[in-house]
Amino acid sequence: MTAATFGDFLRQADEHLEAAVTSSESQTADQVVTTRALGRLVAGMARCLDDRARYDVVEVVTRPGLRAWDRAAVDASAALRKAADCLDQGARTAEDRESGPGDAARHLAAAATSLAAGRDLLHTHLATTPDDLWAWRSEWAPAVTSPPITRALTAEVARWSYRLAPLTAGLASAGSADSPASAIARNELQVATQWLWAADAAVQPAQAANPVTADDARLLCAIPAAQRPGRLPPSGAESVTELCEGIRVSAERLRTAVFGTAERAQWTPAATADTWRWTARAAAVIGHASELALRSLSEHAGRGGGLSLDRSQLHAAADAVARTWTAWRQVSATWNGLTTETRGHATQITTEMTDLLLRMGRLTWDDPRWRVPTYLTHQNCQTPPIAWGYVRTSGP
Amino acid sequence: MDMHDIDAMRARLGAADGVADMLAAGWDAFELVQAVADDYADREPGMFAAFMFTAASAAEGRDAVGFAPSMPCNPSAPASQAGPDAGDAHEVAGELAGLTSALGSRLQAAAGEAEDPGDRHACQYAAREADRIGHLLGPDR
Repeated sequence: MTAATFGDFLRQADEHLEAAVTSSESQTADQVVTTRALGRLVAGMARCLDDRARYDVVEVVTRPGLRAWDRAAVDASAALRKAADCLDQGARTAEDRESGPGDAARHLAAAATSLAAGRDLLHTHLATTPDDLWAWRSEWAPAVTSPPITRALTAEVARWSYRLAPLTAGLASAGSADSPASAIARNELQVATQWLWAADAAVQPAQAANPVTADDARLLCAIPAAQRPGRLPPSGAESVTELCEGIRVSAERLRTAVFGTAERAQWTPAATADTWRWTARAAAVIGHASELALRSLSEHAGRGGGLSLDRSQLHAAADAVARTWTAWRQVSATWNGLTTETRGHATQITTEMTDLLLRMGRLTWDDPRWRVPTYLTHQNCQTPPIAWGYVRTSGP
Repeated sequence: MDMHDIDAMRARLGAADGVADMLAAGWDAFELVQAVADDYADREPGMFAAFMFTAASAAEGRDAVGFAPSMPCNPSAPASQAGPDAGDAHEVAGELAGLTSALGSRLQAAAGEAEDPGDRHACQYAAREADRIGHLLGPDR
């Protein structure tokens, strides 16, 4: 089963939105229920744009170097929030026919839910710092916060605003004008319609200056949810396929685990010299095994057997890996001369490194008995510090 | 470094008298093992992992004795690098395994003699690292 993408939720929301605006029952639908659903959708659209450019209206006016699409996102978001406020007010004052949600209301509610789920998917790649800035939590985070995604998402939201405006105007005219409350509701819906038009208009200058491309839209739809696969502990006898799958899982878990470690490294008790020393050594050994495996593959590339590999690319990959593990070896040599007061802390990273190391060794040497010293298999983590710690260098 | 250095270190371990002397000798032994392991890691691809983790364990063992309360204050000069004709990787691995076997035994003995709990713990911790090196480089690796 493949992971859900933002495109999945975007398509769902778009389908529901189209179904809502093309529904033939808008003249007879319960105005209150439909207005509430519409308000929820429009508020969700505003929140999506708030994530894009985290500035307020004053900053938009006073900040000279703001990108066109950032400015568009802020302006469109402001318009959508106005529209949502009007829709909320309209729903409060309209006469409730108590006829239950019609198709349009159901589709609008479903569109709002899909959009909210898509926004949650984008947030799996990010975290908010105490300074209200985005902190990256995955490899996709740079893409999620990139200008192409801002363009594509802002343009999509503006397109929805354009589609929803006639529906809103239809709701306004569907209500009766018999009572003051109904008149107020009609007025609020008419104002909301204007704000939806304004949201669409807000992005036109950016669209003209820097149009959304097909690649932008494809990238937006391709964003997957940030997922961390479960650990696959090595077992005694694994096939080559199982070894490769285990290596893939450990590598992915390690890539996920490193996000956020820079902030934690300064205070976590797990940042000990022996942890760093072992991790650096393990990284060097993993890289060394990887280089051997790649060079072995490059020797067999092009010899048939259904293996279509480019020998020069494999050589280049092996060379790159060689540079990497050499660097890790230098890191470990540096840590050899340092120590810390606290010792003996197994971490998530050392566990994953152990799994990866074991499987790389067994795969590269084709030996299911290949073993490594698992980190801290015999350490007593309750062991108190032996003495006050010191940091010094030994040797030149 | 050549095989004589390993032999000399083995002799020094045998001659160490008292906990403090054993801690100092242990420090030097672990430094020697670390230097040799680092130098020989590249000489035999199949031994790379074993030598790399040997060096890591040697650093651990050295730090353990370094934190002992009775550890003398003046560490020795660092071990010199091995020359090109110091022996093949498998021979050196065998020699280091033998050295760390002796080291582990002497450290355990020192742990039994130590009156200070800090010294006792340091010797036991270091002896475990010496045993670990023996498993990495011994004949059944």
